[in-house]
This record gives sequence, structure tokens and C-alpha cells, in this order.
Amino acid sequence: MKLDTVLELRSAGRLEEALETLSKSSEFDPQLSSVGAEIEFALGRFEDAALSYAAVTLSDPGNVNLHYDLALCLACCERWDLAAEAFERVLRLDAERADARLGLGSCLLHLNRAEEALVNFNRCGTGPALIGRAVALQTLRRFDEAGRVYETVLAAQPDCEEALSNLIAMSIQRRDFERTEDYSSRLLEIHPQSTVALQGLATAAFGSADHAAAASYCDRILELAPENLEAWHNLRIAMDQCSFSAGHLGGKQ
Amino acid sequence: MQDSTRKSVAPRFGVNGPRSGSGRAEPWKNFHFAVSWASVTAHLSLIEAADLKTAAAVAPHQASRAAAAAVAVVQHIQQPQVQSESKVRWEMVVPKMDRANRVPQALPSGADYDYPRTSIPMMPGLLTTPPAPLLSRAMAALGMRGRSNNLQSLQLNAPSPARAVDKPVNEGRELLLSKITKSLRSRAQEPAL
Repeated sequence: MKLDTVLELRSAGRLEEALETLSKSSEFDPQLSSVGAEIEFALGRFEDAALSYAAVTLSDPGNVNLHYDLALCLACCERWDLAAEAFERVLRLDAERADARLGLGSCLLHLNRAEEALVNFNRCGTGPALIGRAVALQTLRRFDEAGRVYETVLAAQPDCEEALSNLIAMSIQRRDFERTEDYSSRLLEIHPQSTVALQGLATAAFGSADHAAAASYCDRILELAPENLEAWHNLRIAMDQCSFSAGHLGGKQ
Repeated sequence: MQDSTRKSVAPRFGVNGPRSGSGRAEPWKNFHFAVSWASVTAHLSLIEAADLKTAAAVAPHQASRAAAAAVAVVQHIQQPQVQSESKVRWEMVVPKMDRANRVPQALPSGADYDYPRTSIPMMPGLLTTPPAPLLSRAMAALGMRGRSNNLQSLQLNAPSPARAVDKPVNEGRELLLSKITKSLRSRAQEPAL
């Protein structure tokens, strides 16, 4: 009866009331607790949801979906270490769970365990794992391989903002400003409001000593993100350089 | 020779910023470029208990097994563990008062505290406190499987005046999450990945 009530409340979007009803329960019921955890998750109370799932998982330790849900909650709490362990438990129960492997790889990247993350992403095939694989390679400074994987992503999804942003970051790591400009232009074409693209273009302009262009990009960054301290600093530097160059040229004339 | 008036009125973000004596420009700062992989997990979502009623009807055995386990968990907390048929032998030790040699004894460490789980004596405070909410009691069961410091997390998790303070609660949750992992890890099956 209580389950019906809770489900009805949840269906009606009355999540708080549903939780309140659940909290009045005097007995531990795994089904009710599962529903409670789902509601807590929907409300963004990830820690509470993790605790609820943990309790249910103990009562049904062979339920791989419960372990998976627990792992997801822990990841949402940014408890990467615990989440990674929970995803590993899912994979012990079902090694074919691609979603758990993606989750594990992502947690391992957060934990700076790029080698292990790469192993996991390599076992996932294509799809979302490609970005993970590319990031792992980039973290390991295997830039050429990472670049090829990103290009594979872009071949399938030319407007993939994440791939382009990461390629901008990678080209700057490599001090390859030509590529920085190329990727930034592509990103700006797709997302005209992208500060990452403008930062990339500003960096490339500074790299090629085009201070007028750098000043222009910094100015645009500040229109979009007035709190960007680097942009303020670099705008001043670029304008200073412009005026210095103008003065220098004027002096020569 | 430097232009002192120009130097003094240099605007904060203007074109006349300070310049070193040699004429070399101040270096520009690197922008922050974050590498992200949010799209890897963007599509992951909870696997909800689909149709609970149907599931319960289809697999009553499984549901009842889970419920039985849960009841066992709760009972484990509600009732003091009395093992009449336990094979563990207990010996009552009456402490002898020795005022001249009163050295405080260290509590047993977690590693030394290797009594059977079911024989861990309950803390009097735990039994006298009002019944905790369901989740707290379930979580308390987790704590029971832990080491000697598990009672600390129990108290932090239970509804008590201490809950009014946020920091201890967060610390308690930290402890609790660690315990969950330890507990689940110990229960996990071990086939190769």
C-alpha cells in the first residue's frame, strides 16, 4: 500500500512528499528503499541516494543494477575512489557492462590513473569511449595517438565541442599555434560564444605576435566573461604592445 | 630617462601600462584550458526498478529473500545479540583495583578486535536511544560489520543533537561511505574482470 502511495506521489512529481511518506516507514523494505534512492537521486541528493542504495545492495548483493546505481550516485558525489570501486564490483558481476566500464574509466581519469582508464576505454569499443580514450592518451602525453582518436570522433561528429576544446588544449600543450588557430576557428564557427575558442585564438595570436588580433579576441572574451582575469591582463599587454609598435613605427617615420 | 608623469597615471587596464626600463613587454598569461570528458558518462543514468509490482509478482522468491535479508539487518540492530548456542567461550574477568598502579589501558585497535561479529556487545547508549529512522538503522548495520570505531559513525548518523552541527555530520558521512565500500568490498565476489 505504501509503495503504491509513494509511486503515485512520484508520478505526480511530488518528490518531497514521497520521501516524507517513505521516512515514516518502520520496517526496512528493499523495494521502498530503492524507490527512495531514485527519488533522492532525482532531487540531486546524491549522498543520501548512495546511502540508500548501499543499504539495499547489502540486502541483495548479487543485484548488479543496484551496485551500478550505487556507483553512479558515488560518482555524482565526486567520490571518485569509492565510485571506481563500486563500478569494479559491477564488472566483477558482469564483465560485459559497457556502461560500468565507461563509468570506471571516467573515475580513473579523475583519479589521474590514465593508464588504467585507457585499458577500460579500449575494451569499450567506439562511441562515447573514444573521447575517454583520447583524453587518457592526451594525459599520458601520447599526443599523436590522441589526435588521431579525436579526429575519428570529429569525423563522426564534426560539431563535437568537447573534442575540439580538448584539441585546442592539446595543441597549446604542444605549442602548435597553427593547429590551435585551426581548431579554435572551427569551434568558433560552431559556437560563436565559445570562450575556449576565443582563448585559443588569442593564444595563437600572441604566439604569432599579432597583438592587434590578440587584443581583439581578449576584448571579446571579456564581453562574454568579464571575470576572466587572464583576459584582462592579456588585453592590457596586447594593447600595450600595439601602442608600443605604433609609437615605434611613428618614431621611425 | 623615464617619464614620471606617465608612470604615475598609468591606468589599470589602459595602453600605458608599466614597461620595464629595457622596453621589454610584460609577458602575457596563459589562459586556462580544461580537458574534459563529460560526454563519456553523459548518457549514463540510473537503472530504475522498472515496474516494481510486476517485478514482485514475477520474482516473489527473490523479493522475499531480499526482504528477509533486510529484516535480518534491522533485527540485528534492534535486538541485543544473545547467542545461547555460540561456540565462543567467554570468561568473566573481574578487574582488580590497584590505585597505586593506575595506568590507562589502550583500547583494542581495529585489527585486534577480532571477536565474532555476532558477539560484539551492544553499546548501552545505542539500545536506549529512540528508534532511529529506517535508513539510519540500515546504515547502522553496515557499521556493525566494521571495526571497533563503527559506533562513532552510528552516533553521527543517528538523529541526535549532534546533527545540528554540519561538520561532524559530513565527517560521519565520509566515514560511512568508507565503511560502505569496505563492507561491500568484503562481500564482493572475486571472479576476474
